[in-house]
Amino acid sequence: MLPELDNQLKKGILSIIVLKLIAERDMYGYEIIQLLDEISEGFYKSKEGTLYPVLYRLEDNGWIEYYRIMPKEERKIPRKYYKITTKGIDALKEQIVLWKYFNRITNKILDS
Amino acid sequence: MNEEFQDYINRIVEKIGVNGKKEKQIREDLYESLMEKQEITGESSPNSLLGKPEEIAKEFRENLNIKPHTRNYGIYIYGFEYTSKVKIFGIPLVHVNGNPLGVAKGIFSFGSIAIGVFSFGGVAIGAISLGGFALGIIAALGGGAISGGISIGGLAISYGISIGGLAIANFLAYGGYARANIAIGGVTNGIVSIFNQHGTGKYIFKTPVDVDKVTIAIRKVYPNIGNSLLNFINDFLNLQ
Repeated sequence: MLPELDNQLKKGILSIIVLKLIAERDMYGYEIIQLLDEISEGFYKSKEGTLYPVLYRLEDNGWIEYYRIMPKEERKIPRKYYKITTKGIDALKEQIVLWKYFNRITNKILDS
Repeated sequence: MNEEFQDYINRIVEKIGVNGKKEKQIREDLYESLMEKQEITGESSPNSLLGKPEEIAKEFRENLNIKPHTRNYGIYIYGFEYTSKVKIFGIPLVHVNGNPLGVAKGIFSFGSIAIGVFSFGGVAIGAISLGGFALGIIAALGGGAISGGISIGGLAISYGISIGGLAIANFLAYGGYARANIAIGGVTNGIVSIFNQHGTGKYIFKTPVDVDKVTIAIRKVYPNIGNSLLNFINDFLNLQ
């Protein structure tokens, strides 16, 4: 696959995936990066410069919000946990429906 | 705060070219990521933990849709571009183009080259223009100003009124050198010529002048001139 096309496709879908992960449980940034890498077997290996802009957009849309917790381990700074909002839950449902529709139509064209 | 981390983050943020809330967010998140990774790996070099600042900044810029080389220089945002969503007859209400030699086209336009109804820039072209070089249908204000109505500038040329170091107009010019039907200034050339150094014309007056005599001369050239315009001209005479 062309690297540029690969990147564009990933960027387009990453916000839905990140929103889905946060909907499962509250998570902090680095945890999301690790989990994405793990469950996608390296396919969605993301860096900070990719993940945080996605989180900012989700936050700007009012789909997620964050709170800070000082972890039990000895740390000097608190962790920033992201949680999905009610608006975000509705948006995720819509996005999944849209993605499935997009996927179905695209496959229909490509398989014809 | 880890100073090495701070320096590293400063370099990234400077290269991204953001400010305000977004800058604060990025600083906090990068610092948190560095701390997380340091705890897990035991590595202390930020370059080893997150990568080269240039690459991180590039990734942020791409994903935040910030154009490369955009920098923030205090109040003026070099490389910044803004186009308002509101349009009038298909023309953006506001277009700001801070790119070098960038052209801004809008009802209100701001840029190196600005074209609009109200244009402000290095070279400004519009109905009312203000800039290094300003070309205006109604008014122009700038180092060089050319307009149909009123021009004010080092070099001011207009059909109506010009005010400037070198002022040339059809109706009234006021300046160091003034050339117009009514010319007021240091060196003047006009039908009515009011000077304090040298003047040529049909009706010549050396300052200080008798305002009534000047008014009579102006009325000979412009018999239908209104009192408000005469008062406006008299204001210039009082400046001499």
